[in-house]
Amino acid sequence: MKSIISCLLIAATFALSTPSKAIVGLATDSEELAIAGLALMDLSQIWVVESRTTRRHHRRGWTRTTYVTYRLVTFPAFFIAGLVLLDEQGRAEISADLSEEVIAAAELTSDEVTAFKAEIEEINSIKDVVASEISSIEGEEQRIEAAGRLWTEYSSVLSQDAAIALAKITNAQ
Amino acid sequence: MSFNLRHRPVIGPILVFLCLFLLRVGSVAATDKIVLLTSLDPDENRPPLHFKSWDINEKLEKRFYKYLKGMDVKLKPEVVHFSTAENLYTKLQDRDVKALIWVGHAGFYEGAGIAQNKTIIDYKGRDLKNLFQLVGPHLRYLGLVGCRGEFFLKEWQEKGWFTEAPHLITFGREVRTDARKGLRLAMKELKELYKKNPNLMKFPILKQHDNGKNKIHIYRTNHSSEKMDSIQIMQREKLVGFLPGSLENQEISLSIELSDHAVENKIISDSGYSALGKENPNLGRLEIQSDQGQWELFQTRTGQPIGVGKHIYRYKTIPRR
Repeated sequence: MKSIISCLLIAATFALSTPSKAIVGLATDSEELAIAGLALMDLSQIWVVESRTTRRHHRRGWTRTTYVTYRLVTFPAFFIAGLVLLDEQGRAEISADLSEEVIAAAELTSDEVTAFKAEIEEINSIKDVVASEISSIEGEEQRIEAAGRLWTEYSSVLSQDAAIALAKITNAQ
Repeated sequence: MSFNLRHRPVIGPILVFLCLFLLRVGSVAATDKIVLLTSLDPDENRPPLHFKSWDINEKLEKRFYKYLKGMDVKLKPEVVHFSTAENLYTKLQDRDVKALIWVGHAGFYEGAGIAQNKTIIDYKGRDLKNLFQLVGPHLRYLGLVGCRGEFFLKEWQEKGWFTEAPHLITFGREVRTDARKGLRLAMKELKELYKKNPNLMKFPILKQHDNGKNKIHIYRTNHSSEKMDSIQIMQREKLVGFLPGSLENQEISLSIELSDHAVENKIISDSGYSALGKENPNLGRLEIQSDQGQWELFQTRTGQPIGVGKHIYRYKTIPRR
């Protein structure tokens, strides 16, 4: 299994435009905004892509690791009393509906697209486990690092094509 | 007043027939139901500067009966607050339910990238949108009162979820919705429909089709002392079964359509909880038996299921000898 992970990481390294080893950290901060009395007239939401690069010095020189995370950010625009709004925003799923733009930007092969779509339920299950496990960790940076580690660990149970597709997509975003 | 003896044998059966007919008409009208399912926690759905006694469920129920009074309908009303997947499942299966209005939180977002959120949740935060696949031919009116409910309805129509219900009329809004306003509009829509067609609830009920020709048997084992959560049993995106919450082990026989592509035969046990919805949802373990193939749990090498609110069972064909 270690060889599969190595192959995966090597393949991802070659496939990606970034020269460094890319670890994908994808986590969602669940926010339950359906709260008593919090009457929000309008909520705009944006998806924030955060890319953090850390450099570490080893005996063989410097290595660079990039963590990419997606966070659902919501913010209230207006505040009107008396309304009970039925808005649910506490979740995020990874969609299997890849647009042509995403496929082109991530340079996905047809095998990778097929594998990604075929294993979308497994990918979302891993996302849930990662989100659940990092939720108890204090500090955003630590959470991101833990997410990266967990994704690397769990991606070994996906097919190589699906794991590479996921890595390519998250880096292309 | 006297009857001609010669006519007595004719009048008797006519009277009996008339009585039976009236009884039948009366009983149909009496058993046809309109159901309001609400799933809101009053403590979490109270506007600011309101007393603790202010209860959204009471408000909704009061309005529901008020609007119903303004309509000349012969439907038996039913209201269930704190509705769960079990309630929704039961009401959608009930052939006497002709009109159903669901009030709860919902979210429909498609991100620019690969992220999306499409959930209709109960007051515990459990996603139960897939249960709406159970809408049957007996349902005439479905009101989905939740934010952007119309988007769900459109998507379900496109996916063919309502093909078994050709007479179904739906109501939803494309915008974010206030609970009371949403209910008012849903009831107003129903009133308008009644105005246009007083015989709205009289329509031919078609026979429902089976899910498929392949029989599978599912055993659900509880490995905990806690009660197992209810689960929606999915074949990928298609709802094929439902098991209510239980402390005891359960079993269910289902008919499904197996595909030649193994991925399409994935069985998913879905509690509806999100990754952070409940600390440890108890889904139990499924053992799926079939002559055609076998299903294996998606798990780590140490045998730990991968997933929080849902478990995936991957399909493998049995090699032929």
